Amino acid sequence: MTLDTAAAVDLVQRISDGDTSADAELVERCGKVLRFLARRCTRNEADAEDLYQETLIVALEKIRRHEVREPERLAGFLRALVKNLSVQRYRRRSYDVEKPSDALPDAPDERQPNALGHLLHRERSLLTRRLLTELKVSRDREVLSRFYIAEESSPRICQDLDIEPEHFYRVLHRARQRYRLLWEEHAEPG
Amino acid sequence: MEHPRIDDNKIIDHYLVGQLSPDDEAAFEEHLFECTDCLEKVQWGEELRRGLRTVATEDTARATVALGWMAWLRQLGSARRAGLASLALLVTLLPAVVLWQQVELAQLRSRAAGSSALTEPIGDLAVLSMGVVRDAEPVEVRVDPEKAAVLLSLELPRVDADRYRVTLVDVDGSVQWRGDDLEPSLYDTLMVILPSTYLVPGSYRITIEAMSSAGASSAGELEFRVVSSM
Repeated sequence: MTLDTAAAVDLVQRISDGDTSADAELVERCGKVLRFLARRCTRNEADAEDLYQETLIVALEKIRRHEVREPERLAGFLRALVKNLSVQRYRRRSYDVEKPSDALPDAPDERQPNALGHLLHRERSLLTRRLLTELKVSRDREVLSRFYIAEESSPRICQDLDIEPEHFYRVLHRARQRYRLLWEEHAEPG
Repeated sequence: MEHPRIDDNKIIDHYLVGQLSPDDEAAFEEHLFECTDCLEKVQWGEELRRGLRTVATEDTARATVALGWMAWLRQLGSARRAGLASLALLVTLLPAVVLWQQVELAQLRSRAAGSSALTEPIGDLAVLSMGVVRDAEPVEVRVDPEKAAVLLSLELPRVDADRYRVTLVDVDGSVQWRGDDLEPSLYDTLMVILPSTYLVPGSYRITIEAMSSAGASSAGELEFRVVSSM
């Protein structure tokens, strides 16, 4: 279920009118994208989940208060909201860190991922290492690492690995496909 | 943002590494709300990027710890350093020696099994796997004439084209079979299924050409000799 213009206008209207089923529909239509954007704005799963929840709560409040002036642009509103809340959270943390230590005697450092976060991090690391080892085409490892981690430019990678520039994105695509195939083999239950 | 633009400008790839302009990034992220296909692609790409980043961060942290150890070692006296170095050498070499012996053993077993392991038919369908190796001697393959068909799995040295042409020529230079528009598999192989009657005992050459808008260019050749397994 996605969010086109007509659905956006309808949703905003129903939420404003107090239709509670529209709240659930907003989550159903926009939850995946908001979660993805929240994850992209934060450093760990726990922070992402907090930001996602906060975005939903604030979005519903603003819609109910008729603060969404262009209902047909609900997607843009939600996107901007998650980004703004992310920046606010970052600023709040920076402020907290600068406070004298006696102001927050026993406050846990929220920047540290929790136990679940550590576990997910560890699992991801182990799985990634295993898949990189299992990639049969050694060029795949190099292309993926240099493009996604070192963020080298495609002309530079092409030059070093003797890839025709017009074929670079095809090579990258195939490397990603092979990696994904392995990932699905290992990550899928059973 | 429309799909032709997303595909033509490799928007997803550039988005994942943060190379889009702020306007394009906003337009693409808004597009995600109405396109599950693009959302699925960026979710997967982000997962891949995060995994690679996790590993890279860990490796960097380990390297930093290693540098710390080096600093500690520098503070030790030369006799202690020599002792530690000997111990480290011993600990490092022991697994290597064991591994080397295992590799030797595996190679001996492989040689004993014969070099035709990949050229033997497997199962009901005769499967022949061959790689393009420059200046290689023709390989000998066994084809059971009782089999209805032969599956040739041709390993490409590299994949730089979407489509390939494969031509099978016999010893007299006669074209036995030709296939155009062959798409490489995910593992950089071309799969060709031929009736086994096409491969009577004799010598053959396979030429592989990469097809592009500019025409055909050679992507490799391989020669092989068919012998009957009966």
